[in-house]
Amino acid sequence: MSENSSAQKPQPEHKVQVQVVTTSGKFPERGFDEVAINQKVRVQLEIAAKKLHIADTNGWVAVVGDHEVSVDQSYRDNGLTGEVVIDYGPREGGGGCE
Amino acid sequence: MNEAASKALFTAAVESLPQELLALRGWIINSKDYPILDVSFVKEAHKGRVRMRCDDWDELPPSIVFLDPETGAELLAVAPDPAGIINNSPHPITLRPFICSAGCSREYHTHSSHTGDVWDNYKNKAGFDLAGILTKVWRAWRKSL
Repeated sequence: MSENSSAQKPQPEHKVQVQVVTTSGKFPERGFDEVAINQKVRVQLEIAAKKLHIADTNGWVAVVGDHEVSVDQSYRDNGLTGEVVIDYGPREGGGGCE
Repeated sequence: MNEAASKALFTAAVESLPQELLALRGWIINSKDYPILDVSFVKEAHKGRVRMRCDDWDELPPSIVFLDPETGAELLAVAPDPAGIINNSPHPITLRPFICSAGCSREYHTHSSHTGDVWDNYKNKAGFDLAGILTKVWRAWRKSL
């Protein structure tokens, strides 16, 4: 009985608190969104882009701390736990002069 | 470009920079008086500072120079980044180090190697607003040697 209850109840270690910060604002507007730790990072980035009316994120990079995260991997696979603040913006691109 | 229109675009861009973003990236705005956006990068191991002159924005991209983080004096030499965005050789017109990346600086588009690649190719495209350009310059600075 107790095992069933435990299986159905979300466990804190299965969640992360996520905030996406961009040059157009942050999402959510206040605090953090709680999402599953096995969810791909890309999902929350796409929600944030839509809410912040960012039309084109092609070539953007997601950075947590000093590390670029793999957006097609989960928070768990990226080693992210607890409160995760994602800096999401354009990559620097390339230089142009010879 | 009409100065009032340019100033309005500039002001809207700099005033909309989220405080959370400034704190997260360690950006300190030293000046946002049109046409100058002067920003320090204070979280990096080697601190940086750039001045973006945005007269005629967004008819023209910003003119960008590197400043001494402490004194604000223009630098005549900077450390390049691996991608070659920060070009330490003297620009043929300004004779200063410059941002050499398409769509990111007036110096790129006035460089003799790139006069055929006009700013209109990038204007109004994602990542080429003032905040996007500053983001790219900052990322390059973080990777500079």
